[in-house]
Amino acid sequence: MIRKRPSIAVVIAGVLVAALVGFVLAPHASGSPDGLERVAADHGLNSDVRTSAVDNGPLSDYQTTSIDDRTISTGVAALIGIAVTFALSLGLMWFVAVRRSRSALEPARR
Amino acid sequence: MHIPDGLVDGGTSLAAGAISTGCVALCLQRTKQTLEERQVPLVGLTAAFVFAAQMVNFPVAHGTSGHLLGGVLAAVLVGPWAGALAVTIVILVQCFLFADGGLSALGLNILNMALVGALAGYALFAAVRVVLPRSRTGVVIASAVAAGLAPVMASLAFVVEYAIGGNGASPVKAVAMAMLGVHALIGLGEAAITAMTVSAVLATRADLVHGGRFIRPPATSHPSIEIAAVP
Repeated sequence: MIRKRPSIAVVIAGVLVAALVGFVLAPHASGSPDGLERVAADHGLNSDVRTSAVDNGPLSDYQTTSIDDRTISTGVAALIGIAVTFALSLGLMWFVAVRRSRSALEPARR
Repeated sequence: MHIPDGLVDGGTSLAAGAISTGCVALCLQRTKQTLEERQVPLVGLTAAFVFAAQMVNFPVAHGTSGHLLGGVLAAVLVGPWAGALAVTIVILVQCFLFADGGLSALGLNILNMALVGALAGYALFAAVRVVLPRSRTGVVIASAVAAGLAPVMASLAFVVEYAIGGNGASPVKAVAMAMLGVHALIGLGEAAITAMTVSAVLATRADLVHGGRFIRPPATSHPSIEIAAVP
């Protein structure tokens, strides 16, 4: 079995799959309340609920405020979210896992 | 199932924040010890895919939808510790960039979706996997079973939090029945998406998949012969 790092082609293919899901599928997602929102509404749990303190941001509620078309607005918000999530998680993992194995004198534990 | 600000009281949210912080610290430590450098790109891809898939709400019953939580998916792909961190990053991005889930409820949401999903979900995956054949199908079925129950476990965690510090007047039992019922349905979607994704990645690069290390190599390839054949 091959045990090498994924090629750049595999990484690009993975990013494209996530981008397709976000840009193509997310704008057509069900707009109904999710399970928790539904239960909260049905059982009157929302009386003390406040909107998030960051609710007036440019990407609030998965909409890009500068884009009027709702489908594209959601799609662009998804792409930004995917890019930020990808970058942050890669950065954290590089910091945690790669920096360690490169700085260590002994080979990384397997 | 992102908890908004004000649904659960401050003390309970703070306690959940402390538990989540401790668990995330443990995940960081374990990831540092166990994650191989070659797995790093897959963690980024996993987090990106879970973010995208979480946006795709699917209808489950009249006027109600559900979305992937992704904890089991992430844990099977990159291991429970890095998987929990991947979903934690997704929830942080959703909270700060998209105002999904309250700031004060961040600890609750990380606990319910990232930690319960990836850590308890992975434990379930591991328990189911040992009774199944050590094949791709075995890994996919174990992933599906664990993913199917992960939303139920997450909703159970919410019910506990609501019982301790819920700001609603509704009795805990009624909230519990409603939450568990709807999340059992959402679990079917979670199981289907998780099984399809794990299956696709196993077919492409099984060697990169954490859950794929349990697959027994085909009996025909004898290790000593393989080594001898290398020039």
